[in-house]
Amino acid sequence: MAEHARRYDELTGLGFGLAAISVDVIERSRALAGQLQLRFPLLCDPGRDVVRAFGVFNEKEKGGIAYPATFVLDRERIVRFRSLDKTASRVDLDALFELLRAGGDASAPAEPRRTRIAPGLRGFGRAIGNMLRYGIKSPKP
Amino acid sequence: MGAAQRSDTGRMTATPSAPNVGDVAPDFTLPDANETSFHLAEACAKQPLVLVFYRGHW
Repeated sequence: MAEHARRYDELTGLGFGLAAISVDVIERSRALAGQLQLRFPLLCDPGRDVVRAFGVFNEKEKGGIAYPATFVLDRERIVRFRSLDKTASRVDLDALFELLRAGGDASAPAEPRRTRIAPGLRGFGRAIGNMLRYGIKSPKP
Repeated sequence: MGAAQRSDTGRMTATPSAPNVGDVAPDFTLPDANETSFHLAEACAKQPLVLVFYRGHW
């Protein structure tokens, strides 16, 4: 989320909105939104309904969370691009921006570069802090 | 059941229920961290949208 936050202006400059979803409860999302000073919505799906509807529900981890995934939707809510990422990697934002600049359509490469998630020391510290504050698992719905 | 399938390389491949390119994404309304209601169809109508699913708990 930190990288999305840093590049939010770039994204809106290209004419796209941004929203992020997890199964976290509102209190937890509020903490993250505050820590990262996010200007885009962090949507809360503790019931896992939306995560399931988008086919990205990872029921094996932490009581059931979302697989990292990115969907680019047009004004009619049609999927123009999607990236379903394995647990420890995510779509490379540079590659995503290339796609968006190109119009984000289906003719773009289907498999953009991926990078390992390396949250760095600050991200790691934040992760540990949040784990201590909120526990490892999200409450089951 | 919507469980993710994995290819031989371990990368997550298309899940049975994940909308494909060209599909209309499922609509939903969810609260954000400020308890403001977010309706996907409304947000998309304003401008195209990048929707990111993240693991949470960080």
